[in-house]
Amino acid sequence: MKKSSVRWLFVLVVLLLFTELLLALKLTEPFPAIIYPSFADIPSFNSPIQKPRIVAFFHNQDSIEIDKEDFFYNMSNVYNNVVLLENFNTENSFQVSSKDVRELQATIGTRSMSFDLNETRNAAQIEEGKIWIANTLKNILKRDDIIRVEVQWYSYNISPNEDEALEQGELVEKYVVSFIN
Amino acid sequence: MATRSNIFDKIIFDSFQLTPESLGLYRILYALFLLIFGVPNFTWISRFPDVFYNPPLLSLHTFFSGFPSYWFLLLVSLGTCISTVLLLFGYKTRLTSILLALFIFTGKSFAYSFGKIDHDFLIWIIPLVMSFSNWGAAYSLDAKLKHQDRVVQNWPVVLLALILSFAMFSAGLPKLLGGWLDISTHAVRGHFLREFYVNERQDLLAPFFLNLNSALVWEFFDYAGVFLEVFFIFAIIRPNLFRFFVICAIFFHVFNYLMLNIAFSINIILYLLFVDWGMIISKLRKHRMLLSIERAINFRSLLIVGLLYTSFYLIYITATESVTFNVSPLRFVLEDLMNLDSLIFSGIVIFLGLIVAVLNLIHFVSKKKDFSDSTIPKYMHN
Repeated sequence: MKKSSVRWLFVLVVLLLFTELLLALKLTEPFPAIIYPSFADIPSFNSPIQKPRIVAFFHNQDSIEIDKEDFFYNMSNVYNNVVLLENFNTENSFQVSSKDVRELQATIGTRSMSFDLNETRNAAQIEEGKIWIANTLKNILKRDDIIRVEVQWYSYNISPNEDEALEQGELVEKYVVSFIN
Repeated sequence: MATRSNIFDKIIFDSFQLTPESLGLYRILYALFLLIFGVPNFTWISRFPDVFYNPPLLSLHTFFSGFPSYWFLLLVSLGTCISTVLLLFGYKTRLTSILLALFIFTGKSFAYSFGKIDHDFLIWIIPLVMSFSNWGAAYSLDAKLKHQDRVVQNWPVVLLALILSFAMFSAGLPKLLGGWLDISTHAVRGHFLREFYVNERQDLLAPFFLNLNSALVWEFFDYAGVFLEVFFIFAIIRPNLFRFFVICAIFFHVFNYLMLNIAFSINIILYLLFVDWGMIISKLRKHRMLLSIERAINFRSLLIVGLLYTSFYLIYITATESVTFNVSPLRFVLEDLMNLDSLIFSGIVIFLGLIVAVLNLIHFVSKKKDFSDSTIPKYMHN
């Protein structure tokens, strides 16, 4: 490459890097982005944290807790917590087709435009998701009489001065996926 | 007096001068890093239903409505594996480097469409940027076939330094603005507790830090993190200063690994680009290892290694039922057969990086000579 092209490349990269950082700070993190996680927030010791548990229920009212890693094919806790958070609670429910309307709006001159981003979930995808969950549970538990699964969200208080800081969990939400039509 | 444009030109074109041999060895090191510690695999993505598809809002993938098919992901994974082997032997190096970057980028884009982005972009940025450096000029099939001349470019190394330091800055600035330097808060401790309890990162020295109650120490961690990340970008004007920051960064990663169980092992491979390659080459030459490397680079070896490795990779990714981000024979032995935690791998990489950095530092101090490859412009010594 010619020296002048390299100089322009550096200018372009610097501009790109700052644009990405600005987007990440003001809007949302783009992908790809040359950005490291900021961890800018300062978690308070006294603010509660939420952790999910997956519990399967059978026809005879028995229930059993499923290990999250088993449910997600040994996906690490960091990942499976995110998948559960993004899909298995009232605010972000995979069973609601319009769970997250994503639109990019732009104004060019006097004309406003909007683009649909990330098609919202349709009925077929939701059904496919439920079938996937049912089959995954059947494979893990080797039972055919599973009637529903609950993702139970527990709230815990962190206290750095207590040895057993997370012993007292309080159930704050039950997210239900029913397999009975 | 040097003009501003002259200074920028000297930073871009004259810093971090590396020889064809240094770049060739670095290329081999990068490829070996992937082949030993794990070639990325993406076939696991197709195990999950489209209803979990949740790509970043500002990405090309928002225009897709679900994950790609198994066959597409298999193709991308195999492409990644084959490109890595070709890169190791330096065959059609520029093309191979760009293809490797594209394969990894494509796969990672879908892997990060579950709602979580891992910040391991260096894994595809390194081959993409280094493809312009002519890192196939030595210890490669290209060199043996006279496909490539011996002229190498240094600016890609500077560009990688810029990318790394900016990424650090992007992590430091929000911390600075978010109040990390407020002495009444202990941000590192808060994050540590969250990681410990929510993500259950409770290995290595995490239990020790759980019981560490010194406000002074926790506040020191807050300040040290912010200073390292924010000031990294200013170090780019002086290669030796940049190298000093790189060594600090390696210690920073060792610390994060031990306390938070977070391993940015891919960073280590980039840090090694900035070590004193002159010293490494002279040590390798002394033990006649360069000659052995030169001899090992041939089509026969490429064919044997390529066939064996790709066969293993293909059999593994089609047979495994687990989510497996990276595949290698060593991983198979340690993780699948011996049941060791994946943290072990990151630990090996991080501590190897630490050893190289410390050896470099000792070498630098004992020789009391310039840390660089001897051609640092005069203005930088002032």
